[in-house]
Amino acid sequence: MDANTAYLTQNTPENVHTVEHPLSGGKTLEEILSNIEMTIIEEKEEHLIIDLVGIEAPIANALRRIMLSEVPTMAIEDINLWQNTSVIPDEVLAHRIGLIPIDADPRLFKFKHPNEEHSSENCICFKLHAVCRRLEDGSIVGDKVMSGDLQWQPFPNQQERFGHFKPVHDDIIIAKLGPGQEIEAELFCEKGIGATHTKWSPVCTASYRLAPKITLKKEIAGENAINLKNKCPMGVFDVKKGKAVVKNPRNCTSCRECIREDDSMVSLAKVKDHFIFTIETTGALSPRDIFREAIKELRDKAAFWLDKINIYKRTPKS
Amino acid sequence: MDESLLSRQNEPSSYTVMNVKPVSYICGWCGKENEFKSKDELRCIGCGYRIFYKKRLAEGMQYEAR
Ligand code: SF4
Ligand SMILES: [Zn+2]
Repeated sequence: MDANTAYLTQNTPENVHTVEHPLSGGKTLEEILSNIEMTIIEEKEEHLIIDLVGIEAPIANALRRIMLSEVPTMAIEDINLWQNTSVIPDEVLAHRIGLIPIDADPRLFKFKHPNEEHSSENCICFKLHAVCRRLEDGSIVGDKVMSGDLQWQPFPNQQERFGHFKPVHDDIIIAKLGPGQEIEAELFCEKGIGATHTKWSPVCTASYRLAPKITLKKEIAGENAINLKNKCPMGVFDVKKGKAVVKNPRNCTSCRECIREDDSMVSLAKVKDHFIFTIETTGALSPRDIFREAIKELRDKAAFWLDKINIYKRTPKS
Repeated sequence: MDESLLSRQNEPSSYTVMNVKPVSYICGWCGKENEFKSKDELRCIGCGYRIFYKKRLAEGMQYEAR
């Protein structure tokens, strides 16, 4: 068995443990670093699929967790509510407004300390004023309050420095109003991280999975090959010239249907150091930037602890 | 009986009339703002509907969006 491969059998996963420390195999740090590979598989405006080969699971997991909860974004935090005659209670409305993703680069702003004032350095201000009316002819206008109704109120010289801010999407319904109902509020965005509250998380989700490694244990031909092809719901196998071949191993969901009745044909496995990351952004940062910021954050953390260790080493033991 | 209630009863009946600043209410049907004095009939000037909602105080409230 290959130490770098975990196998899926009919009953249980096998060879899943990573016993050795990466450095115990006689590899130097330089060797490990030069073996790390990064490939972008798919990049869209809203999501990124990236292959990271040659790293250990704790590092991959650290990256994932940093992306979820430690890459900062801007989100609405304080709300001055002047009028709310809608059916939605104030607190619920405030919560809904807080979750609206704001299209603003958080790297342009500073964190606001609790006793600091809102300023052009640490805050984006929006105004929301929505009134619903029944017109003379009986028709109703303004019954939906959308995220597009937020009006940016720039602080002095914010406009010159940053251009324009708005919510990422204009079509999120915040509340519905009946005739005569009104919502008037002033909203203040602050910079924050997902660990404080999910509204600051830059990702819808960031996850990874291990790359599937699917091999045929023997040559499968004729009817067996067609059966195998039909068995897999994800279209992993194909038949070429009467023989079964593995066509799309990445599609495998590890459902184990292909080994349920007979495990003599297919070997299902995972490559232990090949991580397929999927990063989906809420829209404030591009997924590529989120990944980059996460790596920076991880590096800062490592530097912080390295510093601590060095201080500890230098202090004389008593 | 409570002292304060007694004194309230002894007040002239014009007590409410003196408080002339009209309060505005929202019509439940058309949404028009209506202002009533104490003796007015409760009917919307716009549509005649009889159910009204009181407006909330104009004072702001501060919330954390969490
Ligand atoms: S485990 Fe499921 S998805 Fe993967 S190859 Fe087998 S049948 Fe297809
Ligand atoms: Zn009316």
